Amino acid sequence: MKTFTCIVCPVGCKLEVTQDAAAPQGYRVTGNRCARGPRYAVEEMTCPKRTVTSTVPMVGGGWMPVRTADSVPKESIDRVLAAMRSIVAPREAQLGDVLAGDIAGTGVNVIACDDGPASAWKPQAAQHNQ
Amino acid sequence: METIDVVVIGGGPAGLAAAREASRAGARTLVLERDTLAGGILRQCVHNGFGLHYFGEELTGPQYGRRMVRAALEAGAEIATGAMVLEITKDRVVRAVQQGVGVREIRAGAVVLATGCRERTRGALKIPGTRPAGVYTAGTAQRLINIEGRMPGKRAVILGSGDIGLIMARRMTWEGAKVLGVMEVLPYPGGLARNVQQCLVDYDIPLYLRHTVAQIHGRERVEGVTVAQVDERYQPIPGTEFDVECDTLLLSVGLIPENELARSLGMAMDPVTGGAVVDENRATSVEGVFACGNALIVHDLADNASVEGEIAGRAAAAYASGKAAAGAVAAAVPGKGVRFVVPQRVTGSQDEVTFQMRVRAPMGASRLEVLCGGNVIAKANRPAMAPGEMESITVQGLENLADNIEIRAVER
Amino acid sequence: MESVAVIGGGVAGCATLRALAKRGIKGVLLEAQSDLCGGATRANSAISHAGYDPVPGTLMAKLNVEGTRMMPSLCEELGIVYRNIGAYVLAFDEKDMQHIRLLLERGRQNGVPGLEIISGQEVRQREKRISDQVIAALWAPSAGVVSPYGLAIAMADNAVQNGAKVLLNFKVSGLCRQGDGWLITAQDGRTVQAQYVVNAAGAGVAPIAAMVGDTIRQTYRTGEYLLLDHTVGDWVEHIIFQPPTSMGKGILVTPTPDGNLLLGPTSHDVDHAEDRPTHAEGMQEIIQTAQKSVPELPLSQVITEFAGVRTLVKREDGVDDFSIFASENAPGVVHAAGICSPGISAAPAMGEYIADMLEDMGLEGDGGAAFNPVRPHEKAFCDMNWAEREQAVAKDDAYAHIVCRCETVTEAEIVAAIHAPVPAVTLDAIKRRTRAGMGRCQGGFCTPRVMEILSRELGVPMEQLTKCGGNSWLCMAREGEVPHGNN
Repeated sequence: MKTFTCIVCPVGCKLEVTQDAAAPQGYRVTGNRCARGPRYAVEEMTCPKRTVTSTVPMVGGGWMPVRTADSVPKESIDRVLAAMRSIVAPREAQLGDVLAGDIAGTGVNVIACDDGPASAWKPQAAQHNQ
Repeated sequence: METIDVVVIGGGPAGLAAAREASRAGARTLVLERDTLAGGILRQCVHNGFGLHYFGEELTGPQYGRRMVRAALEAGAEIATGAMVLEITKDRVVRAVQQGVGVREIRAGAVVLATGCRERTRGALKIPGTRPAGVYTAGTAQRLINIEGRMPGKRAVILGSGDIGLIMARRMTWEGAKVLGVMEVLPYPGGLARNVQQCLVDYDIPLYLRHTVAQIHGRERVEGVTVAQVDERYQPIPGTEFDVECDTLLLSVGLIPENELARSLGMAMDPVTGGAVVDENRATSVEGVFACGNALIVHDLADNASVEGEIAGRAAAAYASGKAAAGAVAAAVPGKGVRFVVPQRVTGSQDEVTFQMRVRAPMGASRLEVLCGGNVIAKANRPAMAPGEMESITVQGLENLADNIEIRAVER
Repeated sequence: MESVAVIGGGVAGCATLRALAKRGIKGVLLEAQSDLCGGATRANSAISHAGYDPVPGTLMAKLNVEGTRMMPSLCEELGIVYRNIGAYVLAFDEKDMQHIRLLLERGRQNGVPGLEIISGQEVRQREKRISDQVIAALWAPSAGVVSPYGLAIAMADNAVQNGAKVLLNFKVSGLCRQGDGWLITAQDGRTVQAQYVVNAAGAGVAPIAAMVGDTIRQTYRTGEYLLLDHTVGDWVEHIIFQPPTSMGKGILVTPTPDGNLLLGPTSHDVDHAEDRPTHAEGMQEIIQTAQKSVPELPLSQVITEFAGVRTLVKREDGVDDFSIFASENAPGVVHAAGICSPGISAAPAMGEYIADMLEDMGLEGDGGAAFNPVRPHEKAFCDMNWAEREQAVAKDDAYAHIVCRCETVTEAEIVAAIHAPVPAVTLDAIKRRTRAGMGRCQGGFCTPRVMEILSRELGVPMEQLTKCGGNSWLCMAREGEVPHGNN
């Protein structure tokens, strides 16, 4: 049996995972308060994954916050961070833009977490009645 | 002098939510944000873990902040950045300076204080030793790395296991620094359990519970710290000291609501939360002035600050449109096992009210009970509670309160 | 060749530089650190003492009383805050009564104006938080508070505006006779030639005196302080002393010139002036002793602790005194040693005293007809009314950028400090001149922002900036990334 803290949400359930051939995916999970717990627990036992976040330089100065669009295998974090160091974000970048595809061979993209200073995003006409 | 229905001071997760809701309710709304970009402290919190409750998906701080900015603008709010409010009068004249604009004097129909919080410092802790470079609060270090693109140092000790400290342990590690340990005076970590797991355990960073930094060494730059175990009164125990060689000490030892403007208004303050005393509409004791977010109580999650901002924004818009504020009819006070309760006043103007509170000490299987006139009017079981995690309980039927409300935490 | 080189940029050196400028003598000041006031001037009680403590007849007594008399008009000329709030020395028992009577007598002999002993009841009427254990107090109306580094920096700035020079990071490593003057060498190889030398190097006086064969025996005493936020700056309205001990003037409670509340100092002999750590015991001692005077103290408002070191030189007869004298071995060299408390109070008179000595030794100036005693300065933004603020912002948009939110310090003021006559090039130097980083958040908010401005104005990357020179670096480049941006 293995115990660990679930990192899926801020509640932080204490999960207990037992190998059990009869259970779906081969593990029995207890201690979870929601359905994401067992999913996370099984993944943590088989291929633990984490989201990687950082900031990268922007063309012309300043830094752009970035993230992996999805979680990546834990053992690839160092490679992902190293690959992120060569990204330079355009000033036109918008929230969610892909700044690097398939980062470090993980199959996961790195995306912009903010609008750059030259982003074209503009608010739709205000809906409220004045 | 300009005239604006609702002036929101602070463009973080609470202020932007307040502005969006006030705008949606039809109020002409202006956010005054002192930084060059809106988003508040979320801008430098580049890690994920935000928005699960509020947006239903896991976002990084900047993603959360940008969505809030976009939503406030789409709702029609105006956001002024580089704008620092220096003064508010009791009749709600707001005086600010704004870069590129100058002095602004605004008569506000209602004011929402969403000024966030600041970090406790070395001085407040009275850590003995020299005063070299390299002692930073975790938030300052976070800004240095994520916004300025610089490392605060390469061998760090972190005092305090608050969430920012834990996040910074991982962030420093990811940027090639060595984090030698996290010291926590309490017997349990201050931050969320998942952050202990994914920021410390994942990287084999030791967490020393019941330990503190007893002395800082180094003349010009930090050269090391003396760590010691603490007794029941959090004082270092002689003989337990050991030295750690490092060039950086980060402090993650608590947040204090930033309320200088509130105090200047003579607002009633809660000595426990450090924020204003408010009712369920987040109205303060000063007519037409509302408070929300970390300026009111230090929340665990940005999501909760936003929810609170919505309440304050709607109430501010209503007040600005001429709806008189309801008078408080009862007080909500912390009972056994509970440190504080927010809101501290109830007017009965809402169908249901969600109270937020922190317990005094970790508890196992337990129950929150809401009492009124000696009767339990609401209760909720909890598998466990800890001071580090904000608890809440929603109570219905508070329209005709005859007595004060008390909320207590009891073992089951 | 310079006419006078002043070694040491503390309050004594800066006062001397200005006193020389007043006589039309353009001196050069050599400071070892990256900013002025890195020694005893940096951390002390910030008080202009009335002058009842020093033993009558001493140089200390003379310069103290005279300096404090000069202080109000000097601060006016320099445009710095001086608050003539007066001081009480409290008495709790008959032994203390004897003590304050002795101080009264000394003070009268020293020529201190307005001294009187008043009843405990009267003290409490005038200062409501004083302990009800107090039976009487000595009242000294001429005492006041002044920022020690504010005073020293303003004197140096004013001297530079009148033609004097200040060389920073000039660590004197050699002092030798050359022709009819002196050759002063710095560790980094720079040299200065001067006809006269004033050795006002604080704790460094003895090693420099040794370079010319003079022996000065120094001892060191450290004092720790607690500083409270300006939300409680009016907790007391006067300087509150307890009867002095053999180790110093005792623990005091006082408002500071900047509106904070200050408690301290402890007083402990140490064997060198290098490290100035604070100790848990020291802080406990301050609190307990200060509570004797003012039982209710708002300790939740403590924003920082700090410690200072004083350098003392005992006279042969054991009496405490300043030791300012012309070297018998080295013609044209004056040592200013043992400038401990009341060095700040005495400084204005001390500068004149040293300049007089040099003139007696043959130094000649042009009489200083062109000397302008007024230091041009801008009012601090936080002290401006709204009309003044509007004007300031209209003139320079950098006034609309509040960099330090706790003390309301603007970018314009920080830029001005960086380009001042004596430039502020470190974080601490900016803090001393503008108060940025001195408030309740202790630089948590403004540190990166001040660094951005320093980096831009000085044209150096952030990783080259320091807190206070030397190895006090603030940050480094991120791994694998070429630092860029923000410049």
